Amino acid sequence: MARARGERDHPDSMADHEQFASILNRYGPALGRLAALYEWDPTERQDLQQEIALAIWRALPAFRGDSSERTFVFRIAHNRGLSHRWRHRHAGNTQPPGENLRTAEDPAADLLRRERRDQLLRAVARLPEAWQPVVQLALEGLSNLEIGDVLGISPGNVAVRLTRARRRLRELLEPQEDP
Amino acid sequence: MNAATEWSELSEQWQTQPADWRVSLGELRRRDRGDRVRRAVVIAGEVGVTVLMVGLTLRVMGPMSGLTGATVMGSVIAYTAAIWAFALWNRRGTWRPLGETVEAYLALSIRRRESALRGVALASAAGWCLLLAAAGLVLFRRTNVLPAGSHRLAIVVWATMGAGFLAWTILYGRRTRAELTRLRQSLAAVREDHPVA
Repeated sequence: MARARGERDHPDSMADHEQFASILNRYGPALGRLAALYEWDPTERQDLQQEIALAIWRALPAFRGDSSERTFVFRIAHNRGLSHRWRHRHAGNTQPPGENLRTAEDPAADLLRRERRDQLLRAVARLPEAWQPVVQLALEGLSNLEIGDVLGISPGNVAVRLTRARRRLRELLEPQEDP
Repeated sequence: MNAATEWSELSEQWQTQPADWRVSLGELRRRDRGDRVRRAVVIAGEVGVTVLMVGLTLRVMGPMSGLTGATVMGSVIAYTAAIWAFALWNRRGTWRPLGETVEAYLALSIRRRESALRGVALASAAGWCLLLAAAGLVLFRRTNVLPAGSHRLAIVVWATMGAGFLAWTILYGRRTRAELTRLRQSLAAVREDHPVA
């Protein structure tokens, strides 16, 4: 089976292990949020997280610094997320995201704040597929240039999508009026 | 509240979500090992099928001698070499994509699925060839060209493999075409406002 140049089966050295562990520590929470966007079922999401981590593990030797570490990690994560989505055919999971993310919550946490977070995740998940990765990366703090580097599109294209997505997000997040 | 402040608040809300990120190094190693075993099994299977087919064919054609035997043996070797050459040619440019941009990854994934469908077409042709070869053997036995009772094993194996190839091409082909459709939709979504030239 063909492999990418420089790809290997497992880290060779302690330095590789340390670099991999460092990446997981630094980007783990963001990757967890990204996985939640691609997969709402908790069991499948755990599987996707393992796939993302494994892909990073294998790709690290091929990383030559031609992009930032952050864009490199997010490229891999989004690619794995897309593979997962089209492999599992999740065209319409009726279980809303956010419900499953409450398992680790502190019961004493502010209920309103938690509702807003869940509402934001659901709103992003309802955006058109072309906008979701752009919005997710922007919410994680990446610049338009970095987002374009992850997706393979121009910063200008990123800005246009982000403008449209923000407008749509605002509509989705507005309180619904009672009928 | 201006747009920048609003976005900043949304970003803060987003980043305070419970990420539930749980990755086990033991599980990663287990998956990695499993992938390597699967790849080895696939390659071994491909080689095994080739050896089986060539061996059975040569055994069936064994009694033939002279020009006929040489022609058949040459044809079998040429057919096998063509199959393997196609398989290697079909895999060109379909290396495992990992660190590419999303757009490049999708484009490469589409090429891999298109390559897979070409393989499906070849497997389908091979399946029909095997069924025809099995039918031919049955015919030759009935018309006494070959001794009755001979080559029963070859007939059974060829017919079974031929039917198996065809069944696999139907199921795998259907799944691959569905994946290809979704991939093209995803690529079109990424390339929004930038149509393919």
